[in-house]
Amino acid sequence: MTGLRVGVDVGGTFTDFVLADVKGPIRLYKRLSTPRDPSIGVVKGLTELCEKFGVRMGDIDAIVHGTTVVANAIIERKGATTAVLTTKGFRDVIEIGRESRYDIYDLFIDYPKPLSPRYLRFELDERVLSDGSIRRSPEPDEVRAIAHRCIAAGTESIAVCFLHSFRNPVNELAVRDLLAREFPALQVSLSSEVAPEIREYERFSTTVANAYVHPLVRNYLRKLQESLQAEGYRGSLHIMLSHGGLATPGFTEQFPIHLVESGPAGGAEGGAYIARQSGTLDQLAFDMGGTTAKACMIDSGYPTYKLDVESARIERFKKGSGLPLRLPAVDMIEVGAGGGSIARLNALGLLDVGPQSAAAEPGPACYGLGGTEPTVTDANLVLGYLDPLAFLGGEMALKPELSGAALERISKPLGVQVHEVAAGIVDLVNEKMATAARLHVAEHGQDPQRYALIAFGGGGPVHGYGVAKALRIGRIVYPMAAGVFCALGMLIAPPAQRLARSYVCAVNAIDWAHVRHLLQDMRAEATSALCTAGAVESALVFKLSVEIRYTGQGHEVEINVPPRVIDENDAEWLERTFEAEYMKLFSTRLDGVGMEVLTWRLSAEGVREDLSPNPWESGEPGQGASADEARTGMRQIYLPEVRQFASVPVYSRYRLRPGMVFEGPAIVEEKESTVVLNGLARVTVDEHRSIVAELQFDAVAG
Amino acid sequence: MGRDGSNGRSKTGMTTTFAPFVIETLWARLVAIADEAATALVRTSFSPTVRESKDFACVLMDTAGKSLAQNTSTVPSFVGVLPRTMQHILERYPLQAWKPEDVVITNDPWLATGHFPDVTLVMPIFSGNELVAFAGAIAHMPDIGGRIYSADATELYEEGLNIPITRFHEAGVPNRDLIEIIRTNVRVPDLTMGDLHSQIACCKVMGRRLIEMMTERKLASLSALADEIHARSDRAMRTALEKIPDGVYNAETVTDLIDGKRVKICVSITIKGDTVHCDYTGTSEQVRRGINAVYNCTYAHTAYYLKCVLDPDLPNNEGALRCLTVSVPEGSILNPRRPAPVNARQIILHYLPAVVLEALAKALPGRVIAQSGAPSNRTFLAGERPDGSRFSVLLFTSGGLGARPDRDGLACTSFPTNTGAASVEVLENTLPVVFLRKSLTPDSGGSGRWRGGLGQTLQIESVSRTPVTASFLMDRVEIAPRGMNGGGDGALAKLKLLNRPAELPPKGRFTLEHGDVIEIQCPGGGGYGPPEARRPDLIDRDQRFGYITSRDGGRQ
Repeated sequence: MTGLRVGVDVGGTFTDFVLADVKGPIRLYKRLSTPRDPSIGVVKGLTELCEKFGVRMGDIDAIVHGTTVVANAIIERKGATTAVLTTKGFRDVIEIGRESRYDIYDLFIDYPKPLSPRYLRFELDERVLSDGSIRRSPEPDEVRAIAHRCIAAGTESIAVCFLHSFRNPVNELAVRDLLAREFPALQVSLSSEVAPEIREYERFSTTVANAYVHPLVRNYLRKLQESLQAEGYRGSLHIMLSHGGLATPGFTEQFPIHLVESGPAGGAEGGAYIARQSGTLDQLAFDMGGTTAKACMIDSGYPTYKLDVESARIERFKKGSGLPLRLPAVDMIEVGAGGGSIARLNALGLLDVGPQSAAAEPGPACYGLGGTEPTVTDANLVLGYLDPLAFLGGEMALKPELSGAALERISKPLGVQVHEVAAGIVDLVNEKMATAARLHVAEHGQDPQRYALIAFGGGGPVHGYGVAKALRIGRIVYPMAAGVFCALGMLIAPPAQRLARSYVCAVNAIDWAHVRHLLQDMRAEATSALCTAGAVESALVFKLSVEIRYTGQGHEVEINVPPRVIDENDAEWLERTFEAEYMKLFSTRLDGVGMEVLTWRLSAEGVREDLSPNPWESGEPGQGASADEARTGMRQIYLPEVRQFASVPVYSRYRLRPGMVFEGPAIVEEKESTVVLNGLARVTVDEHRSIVAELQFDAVAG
Repeated sequence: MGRDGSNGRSKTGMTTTFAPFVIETLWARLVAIADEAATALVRTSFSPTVRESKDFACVLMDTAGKSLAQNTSTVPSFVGVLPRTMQHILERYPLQAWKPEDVVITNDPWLATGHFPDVTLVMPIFSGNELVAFAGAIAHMPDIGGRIYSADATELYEEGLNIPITRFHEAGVPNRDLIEIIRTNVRVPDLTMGDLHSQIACCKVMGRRLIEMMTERKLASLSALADEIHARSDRAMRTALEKIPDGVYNAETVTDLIDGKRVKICVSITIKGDTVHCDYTGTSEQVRRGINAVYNCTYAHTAYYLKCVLDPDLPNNEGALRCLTVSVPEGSILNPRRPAPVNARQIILHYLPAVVLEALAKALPGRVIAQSGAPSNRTFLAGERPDGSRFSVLLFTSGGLGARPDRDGLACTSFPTNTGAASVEVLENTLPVVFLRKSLTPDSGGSGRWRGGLGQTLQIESVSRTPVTASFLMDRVEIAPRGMNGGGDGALAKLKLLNRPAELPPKGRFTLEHGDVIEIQCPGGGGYGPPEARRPDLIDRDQRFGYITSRDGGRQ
């Protein structure tokens, strides 16, 4: 055992690698992705990485892999020919959907087409009732007849979706057994296994998506494993799931839909790691790239989770325009604001930015690749926030004169200066990101002001200060390795299972024997999956929670249940705890209204790997040392507070040592990004070489 | 250029006018404040119509009562209404009468949003001692007393509790007498009070965030900003109107029989230069059934359809509505006199897109859709569970949307309101019913070059040992959604009892016995363009997918 581990994050443009062991420094590597077969880029990159750092493939103990293969397959419609077998009378559940419109003013909206066409959705005369009793069992001959039709139609994968199967899966299981016995060529996904939760549209949609990507993911993973073995790899392979936990290829093959947000989850795990390390446990992870910005709340040192994901949106930033997936995922919001976002004047003659993006091609005007429209990056360059010669570590020279020309498209009609428009663009894009983050935090009943901001990604450190100001957040943390943060996060993630069982019932009428059965069932399933992944049963950490609401409400409050035997006496405890939690969230309590439980959730985690205590080659501690020795010069940058340019010190990230202190306004240059402090701030470098900026806010107007 | 992005500054150093590159930022923040307040409201609300149908609005207003921003996903009935209500409130309580933490309430249909269940609350926003703005919230209550949700009242008084413009809180102190009156008159007092409190919480969010913004951005007053936004929205809307040929565009339709008579809805839309005037003269008189729509509702719906067609991306504010005038003769079903009953006003209002869009089709070909399967069906079920507890649930079911000039209509989609359907599994957990079917109705979309959206068929079996009361709010049983430009009509709505011979009343009540199965068919959308022009590959697809059962499926 060498303790060597590699995190691999396959993105649209780059595949990022982070190599770590238990004591030495972290090593980073980046190469272009190979979109047609991402496994090629992964394996090539690994061999290149080994060569660069003098490591042998056979020395690596574990590879943790995050991938967009599932999300892309759904967006690009590259999945299997998928059939659905469902309850009689309900074959259109996934086509009718929720019946509401995601944009109420647009008469021309559309929805994604179901992943299984209507002629491959078959009805079976079976029925389970809401209490779990069987009204009608499936007739084997009817199942056989449908299976023959599926095979004749070229179906590889079939989703079995029966009403109330989350309550009693007997009919689904009977069908699966028959199909496995007599039609082994069909891959079967059961709704009671993929997403055993109430609400048929979301459960069926998730199950159909699982079936849709099933053959593709199986082939991808098998090929990846074979290629790795051929290169001499002998260690284990772990896959990053949407909820930030790791799973084995075996689990992933069975439930591939859990990979749908595999990549971004690494960023949230990385942010959470920084939060735990810095001791400020409540943080807002803010990741800004070329096309989008993402934000995720870190509460008490761990990312927050959501249970609803949307895939393949028709309009990327409009909630409700995609296919709903019911599965646990790191709770991240995305806005169409990145370095490539295009600025223009809208119909009202007002400045607007995004979501249209110049992306990597042609890219911002200053790339000199043919882009003529002004982007956020162009504005940053004109305002002095980016050094034209230091972009991507100097690998790409930017052309400020092209930015100026592009911005004149807006400044001329308005009759103002170019830099005023640039400042307006940065202000607006910061406001848009802050707005999205503020709403996201509000939806969780929290206030942004109790968080610190962790800024990463290429653009996060450039805009972190402005976003924090708009949110009135008083502390910003800029971690090392901002550019490969998702891959870094993968190395810290634990093997994990997050399971759920719905059982809708008034709190005072719960059948506790049934609850105990559900809990044991989940515990056994999680234990078996994690032990297969190499975890030790005695080291597993279980967390149980239950969703409760006042009967009649549509939003639930999640209550954490301490680890002990659950029994009849817990009804009163649940009621009291719910009331207290509700009071905390909404400052009110409702007397005389009953409560109901909806879904029990179990999270099980293996041991979290830790990075070396000193992951960055940091040189001598700089305690008390002046930051002046890290200073590389001065630069004119625009300060929005005073609305003028001023000369501010520029520091090199790699010369800043723990303990050093300096003040904003200032600029810190690093290879993949730039920390822009374009206002007052007290800045320290902490022991992990994160830059920590403290902001002050006026309490009074003027 | 001023130091803080302003073109000019007042003597106090505060911003008075704005450069074009800061307005959008400030404007985005105002809308975000309203949206954040909306989030707070939805999270704590008991009313399913608030949650599922977004039947609420959060509005920031300046001290003159003009709207600064409204939350993004407002339903049509609330477009631009609160500023009208605010004028009445300011008449009752002029500016100097307001104290911090005051809460003023009303649900008067004529002053506010057209029926009792919608309650409007307004709070002042103070910066120090100075009144700088108002926060308002409208929300649909879980209950407001009176008859259960139905169209069969003959006078307003039967429809529940009427709360005039009064103080709900005075300087933060609750008005106990008023609260007792409300509690005594509603079926679920705790839930209703809970929802009123969530409206107050929502107004407070707006107040807190607005003061933060004014501090951060150094704004002394919001009126200049509002004027600027309104003027620009006004100009954009007028520019859109100027591109439309001047003229008078008419359309009319009739509804199903109501008490033996058809209601006629006529609209005459005059586009002249940069203005648009909608006149509903010729529309039937008010009726003694709860389907009358007050002027505020007629105005709001009209404005909504115009915005959909003229500029769907324009921010939602009253500047955008200045070019619009709406006239309706008093005593019309679209502008009734008190005490006309109004509770199920949506039955008439949901016919308005049929006429407004059809009239505009002549002016704006290519921008409007054929008639939709609206009004959609609503079915109210009430009874007793085996444990003796009472249930009452409103089922929303949507028909198909009209075909569009360049593509087929959407199947089973809520319009013009935006009410999602509840999950069958959740309903079966709540009610003693079993759904036997909920699927697309083949051949229900109007034929045409582009096919109308399909409606759906539901079969619902009562498994209750005690009788269940069903109240149906259904139209389009006799009058099909019309096609456009030669497209065929959408299928009619249907209501049947399947297991025994009995007639179900589309706008009345029926008692369901154990084992009764009702079948509801929602109407389909009208088609667009002549059916002969439909592409053969689309006909093949429709047949393969079972949207039509024969190659001329759906053709009349």
